[in-house]
Amino acid sequence: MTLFRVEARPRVCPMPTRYMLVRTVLAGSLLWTGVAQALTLPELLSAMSALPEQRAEFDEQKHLAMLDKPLHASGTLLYRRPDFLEQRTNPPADEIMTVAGDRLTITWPSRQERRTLSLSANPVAWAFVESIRATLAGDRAALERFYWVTLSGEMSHWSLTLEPRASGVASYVKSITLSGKGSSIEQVDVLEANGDRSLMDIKSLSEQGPNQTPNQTHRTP
Amino acid sequence: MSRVELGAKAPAVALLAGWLALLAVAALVVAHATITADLTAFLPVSANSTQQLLMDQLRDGVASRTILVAIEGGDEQHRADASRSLAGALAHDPRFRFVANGSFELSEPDQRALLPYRYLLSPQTTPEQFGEEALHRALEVDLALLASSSGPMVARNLPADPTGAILSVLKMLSPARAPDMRQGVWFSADGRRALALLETRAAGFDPDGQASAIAAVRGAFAAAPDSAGLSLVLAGPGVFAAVARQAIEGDAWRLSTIATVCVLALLMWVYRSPALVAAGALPVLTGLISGIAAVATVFGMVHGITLGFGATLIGEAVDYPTYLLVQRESGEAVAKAARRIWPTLRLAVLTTVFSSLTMLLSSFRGLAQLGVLSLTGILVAGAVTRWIIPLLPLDHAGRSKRQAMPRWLDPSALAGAGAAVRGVAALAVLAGAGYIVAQRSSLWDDDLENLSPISQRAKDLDGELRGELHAPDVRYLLVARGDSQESVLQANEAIAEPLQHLVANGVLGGFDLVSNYLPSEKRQAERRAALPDTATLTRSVALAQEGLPFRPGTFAPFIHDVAATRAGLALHGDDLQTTALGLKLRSMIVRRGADWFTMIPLYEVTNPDAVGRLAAPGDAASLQFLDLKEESNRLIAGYRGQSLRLTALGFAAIAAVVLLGLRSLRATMAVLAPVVGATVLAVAVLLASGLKLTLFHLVALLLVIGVGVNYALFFNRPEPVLARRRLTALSLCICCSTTLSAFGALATSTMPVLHALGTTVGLGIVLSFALAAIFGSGAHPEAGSRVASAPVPDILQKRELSS
Repeated sequence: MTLFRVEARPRVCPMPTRYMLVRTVLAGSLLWTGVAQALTLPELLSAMSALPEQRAEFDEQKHLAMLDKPLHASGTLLYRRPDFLEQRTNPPADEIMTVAGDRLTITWPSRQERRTLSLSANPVAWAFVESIRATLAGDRAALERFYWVTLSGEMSHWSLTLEPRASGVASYVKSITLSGKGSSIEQVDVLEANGDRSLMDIKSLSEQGPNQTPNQTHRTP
Repeated sequence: MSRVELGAKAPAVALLAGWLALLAVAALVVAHATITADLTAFLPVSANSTQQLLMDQLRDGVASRTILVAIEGGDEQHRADASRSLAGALAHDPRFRFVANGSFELSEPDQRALLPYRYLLSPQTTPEQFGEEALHRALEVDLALLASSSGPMVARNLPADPTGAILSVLKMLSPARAPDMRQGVWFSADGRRALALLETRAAGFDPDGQASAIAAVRGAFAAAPDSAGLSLVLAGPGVFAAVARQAIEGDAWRLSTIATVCVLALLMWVYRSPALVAAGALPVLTGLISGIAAVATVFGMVHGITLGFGATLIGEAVDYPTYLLVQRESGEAVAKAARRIWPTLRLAVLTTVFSSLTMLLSSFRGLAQLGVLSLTGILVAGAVTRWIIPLLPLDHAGRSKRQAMPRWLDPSALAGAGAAVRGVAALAVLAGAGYIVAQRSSLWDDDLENLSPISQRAKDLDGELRGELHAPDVRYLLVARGDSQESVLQANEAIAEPLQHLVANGVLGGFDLVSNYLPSEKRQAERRAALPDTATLTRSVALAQEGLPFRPGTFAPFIHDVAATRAGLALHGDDLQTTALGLKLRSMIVRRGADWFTMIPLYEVTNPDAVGRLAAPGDAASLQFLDLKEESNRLIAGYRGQSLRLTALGFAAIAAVVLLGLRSLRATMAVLAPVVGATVLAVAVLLASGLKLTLFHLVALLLVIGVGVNYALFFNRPEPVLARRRLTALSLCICCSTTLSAFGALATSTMPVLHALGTTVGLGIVLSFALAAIFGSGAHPEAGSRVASAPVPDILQKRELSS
């Protein structure tokens, strides 16, 4: 298993030569063993950005400190380029959350209530939204604005770990790990600062979703 | 002659030096004068406290500060992006208090500031709310919320706030109705316009501040990367005030330039000498500068309107040098001519000065300013004409000036018409007076809006946007009044239910009560009393948790906060000072002497009468319903009424001065009759053309009276020599032509104010001239003897005899 950290800005690296050396050795070992090539963040994000729209069903288990048994929720997800996201949670939660641009709107149809808030005025909510939205949009800058990003695995099975940069966000969430296959996200694992954890399994409903693994052709001869 | 020459040298230097010193001091004062554009500064200061409050609302109220923004064109995404860019750019601009394009949500810090007071603010703080069953239901809702996508946001406050009190407070504080949402921003119902709402820091009737805010909005829109191909539409009282001023200023500058060119060309045609034309401008310029300086010294500031109207009123002074320079016979020294016409010119100056004096009695600061400006300006202009112009080396300038008007323009031709023409003129005046009496019930137009240069289309757009944005009504307002903050807050709480009833009946779209942000002490005490003691609450929470997966002890923070509130926590206005609500509080609660007032903005009033029935009539009532439009119209009517009384008083002063000067009742009648006749006819013609009179017509008529009296004085001047009578007629003809060309230019304006001034003065001047010519005795040697008995200074009589 290969693993490397993607830095947001060109920071001063204490030992660049050793870093280069690791990469060279890694590349050599891949050539030697013939194992699938390590996936890079640009590769994953460009695969994501090829899709205009993604639809999915989700199934979520929440393990909360204040509850003595896990909570279960299910619903649908919709993403449309460039910045529209919708999460519908089935009853009893019965909630529709939409994000468009800077605006987050939560609607509770059964209570006929609606709340809207501006993401730029609510950094925590913004960070949560971008973990999914920026990934689906293939927007590396937005992703790295909020998180330290770590990618591991290969195109057929990758794992993207996001750790908040801002302390305000970090006081809520410790890490968000997205894992998937090709341009489909299959699981989102949110670990909160207070120890609460939620695991969301996602099943893509888009036809082009699971089968499309364009980087398969990039195997080394 | 030699006596005069000898004595003239030394005083001449002193006079010139004095004049230059006056000019320098006045120019210095003017350069440092504060010129205000605040329209409400023109309104009365002695009004009762409710009227004063009304003024404050017009000037400072939230409704008057609101700018409604619409973005049109392009596609929906495009408009939404531009709206976001615009709001982002203006959010931190100090010129705006509030910028919203998709949410009224309070900021996170403001929410945190409110958190400790949630049980005092929440309308849900009732004993039942904290019972076992209600708590159980609340926890079930919480569980559903935790499962939803907003779970992480809810989880943090849940142990302290399982009943959702903070959410109920936020819900209460956000307006009942919000505009449609598309792409995360507000849109009109048909989706054609992206909408936003701005509140300026500058008052609505501060055109400078509003212009600066508008420039900021336009600048931010133009700078937004996504605004190409879109158009920005702005509306609101402040925007209109700024646009109106800009339009009036633009027209005034353009037309003044045209008028100046016309007048200069006319004078050049008469004098054929640039030096004489330049000398002719000195009195009015010196007068204007001195007048402004006098106003700035007396009042500490000059109002823009005073400048505009004042310049009009002392426009009469433009005529003074014309009388002097045209009536000078060829070869006659300017100084000699000045001495010769001085008795009549002095009377002309004094009549205007005394009529201006009456304006000083006005309780309206604006009118008093006009009085000071016109009094000083006329006095100085008259003095400059009499004593400064003769000192200038003009004796040999304009040798070839016209000595008579072309025959077809000669006013003495009118006089020749004799009794038949006089009879017709008298009949016309009588008919005009009769018409005015018949129309007396619909003489005045006190609706300010009819004078507004804002197009009906712009007004309709404002109404449309206001409806779509659910912005507060600009016209109707409820005001609660009491002797303490506590009593007005209780009055607010008492009216909540009846208002809610009106909303349910569709009479009212919504309302905003300050007691929602700051409940009265009484209401806070009631809510504290509704909270259970710690032992009871601990037991209820434990029972409510049964059957639900919450761990025991989860809600300890809730039990603690309820206990802290119950122990005597209180919310004071000061606690909100630093939040957005503090700002709102300050604009909604006003203290005026011993009285406290709270504003209750209303939204979408569809039946004003039904809302008005909530309030009691009278100034002292604890709840009043204000119709800002009606109230401001009433103020204008009061303004106009007082102006009219002062005009009458001014006319009496003029009559007295003329009588004193001429010492003959018949001669006085001969001077005043044409003026009265011209004023009557002018008003009759204006009314017959479908107009109603406004304040601006009144100011214009004041000028007509001032100038008309001068015409009549000169037409009635005893001049035994025909050549001089012709020169007098010529000078009056030129005065009339210059005034007519200047105000004729204004009459072509589409701005109601300028148009009213132009048409009224133009019409009045022509009528004054014609009637003065027809009835003037000066044109008739046989009639001239009547006035000839009037005392003329000895020196003048000697000179006239010797010439």
